[in-house]
Amino acid sequence: MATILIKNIPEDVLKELKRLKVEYGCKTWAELLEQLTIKREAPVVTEEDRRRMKKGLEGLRRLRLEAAGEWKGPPSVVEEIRRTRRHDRE
Amino acid sequence: MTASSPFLTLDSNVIISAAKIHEPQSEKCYNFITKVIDEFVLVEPSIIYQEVCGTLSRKMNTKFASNAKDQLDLLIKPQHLVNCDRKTCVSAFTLCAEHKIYAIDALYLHVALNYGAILVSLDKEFIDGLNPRKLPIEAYTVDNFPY
Repeated sequence: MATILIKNIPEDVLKELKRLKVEYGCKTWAELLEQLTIKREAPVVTEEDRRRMKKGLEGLRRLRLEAAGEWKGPPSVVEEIRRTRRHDRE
Repeated sequence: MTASSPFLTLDSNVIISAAKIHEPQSEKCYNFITKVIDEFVLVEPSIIYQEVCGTLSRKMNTKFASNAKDQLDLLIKPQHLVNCDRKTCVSAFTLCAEHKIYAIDALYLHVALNYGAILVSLDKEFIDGLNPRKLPIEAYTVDNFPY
């Protein structure tokens, strides 16, 4: 692991960095830098990625057709997922 | 050819609705996913596998759910799948209080916040309940997605 020393950080920038460190739940400055790097990294999508995603979408379409004969009626999916997530609902 | 795309975090209920053809919003959700994968990149918490496959396994069967797992593998790049490990969960739980949301909702929100992603859910109650003052990202239901 490398170590860096950063000099001359303006007060307002340091204040914002401290705020972000708390907001992102980072215990160390290294963790914050990692988080900021992830956030700013624009995803690169290749044609191969698009082909793969379209294949997944085609698979999803087949699943829809397969489900057509068997999966009907209530509860709605939103209600179903609410139930699974909110078992602690008062 | 490569291009940059913004991130999008999709709630599992959108994918499950797309799979359940006899669902009022099913066609809309399937068309939505068709549209967004051309313009966005999915970034998801790993719990989406449990929610999608667990639901489909219970409602359909294990083979069907396993097939859905394969499609998730294709739709989400491994590097854009956030493991719901201790670090993620410890970082996410404070969101429950900030937005008055439930634990699993917070995992989706946490991932969207970390990646600066647009958050989309079918659950209007979840999206409408988010505190706009503490939300530096966009969040929509499928119905009001503006792009």
